[in-house]
Amino acid sequence: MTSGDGERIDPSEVERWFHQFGGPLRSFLLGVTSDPEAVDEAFQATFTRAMEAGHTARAETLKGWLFRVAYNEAMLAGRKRQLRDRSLKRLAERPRTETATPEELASLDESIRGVRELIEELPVEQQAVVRKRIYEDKTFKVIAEELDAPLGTVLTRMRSALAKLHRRLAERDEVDER
Amino acid sequence: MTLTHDNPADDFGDADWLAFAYVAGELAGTELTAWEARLAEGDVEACEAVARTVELVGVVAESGRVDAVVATAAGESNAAGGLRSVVVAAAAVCLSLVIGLSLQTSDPVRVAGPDADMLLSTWADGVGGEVAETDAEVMEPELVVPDWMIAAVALPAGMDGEDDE
Repeated sequence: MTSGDGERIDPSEVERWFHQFGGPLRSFLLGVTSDPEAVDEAFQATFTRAMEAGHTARAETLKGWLFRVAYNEAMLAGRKRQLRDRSLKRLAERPRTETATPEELASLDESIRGVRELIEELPVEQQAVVRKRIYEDKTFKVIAEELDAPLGTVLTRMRSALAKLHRRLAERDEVDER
Repeated sequence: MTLTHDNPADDFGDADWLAFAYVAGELAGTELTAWEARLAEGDVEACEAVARTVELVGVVAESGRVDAVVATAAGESNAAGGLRSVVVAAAAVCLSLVIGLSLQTSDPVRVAGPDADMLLSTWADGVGGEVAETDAEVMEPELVVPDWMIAAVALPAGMDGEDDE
């Protein structure tokens, strides 16, 4: 994965990584920082680092190497910005990516419609937990108190709902890849 | 809070569940420490689970926003429709009052005789502009004809104003 001088990576190789792993890396960084500005900073720093030291990465562990670099850069960006605790609400407020193609946006809209339909098909108890946890950003403990249900029951309902939603998105990804 | 699942009988494994708990800020203590260690090591399963969770939460949250927008738009539409209904109803009441009052205040005199049609026509042409303001009122067949006009029509030829000059 090196250029002719053996010490630096071929920039076109880093560009290929960017196209192949950029999306998951950006989502990963958002999950770690919950801060879109910190994501931008860490994302840029990750690929700068890839240009500098990418030649040390092995092909079979490349994805893990990039995630590791991204995590370290996220920690640096987070410390600089004194990031607050993670929250689903801030995560949900992120704008749609400006670099998305019309096809990607259409696919996203399709997913949103599908997920909305699926949520409406969920058992009422699961719907309630999903809405309270994701839309209202209430903790599981608070939800359990509000619903007067054991915490374990609330967790099980959430996990069951997430599994169904996860499957729906996986199906979308399979269709997109065809 | 222990979040690992004893019976992950689906394709939503423990990594996905822990990733959700991490992103939601629900992981703490040793579970959080262990999870962050996996992320710091570049554990692909854990890191990809975090990325997937972010996508999932984003789509679910977006679907909630669409619901809210649709609900708001429907509410506004209903409010606008309600206002329109009130305005239309008020206009109908006003129109009914105007027509009712005009019918009540008219004093219908049925004009008979050979000159009746001409008289009605003349009167309508001469004073209609001052009284009748709408086509409906012009078409009103029961007009009030003054007595002096009936008398004038009945005068023999040579008794009109031309002789005075």
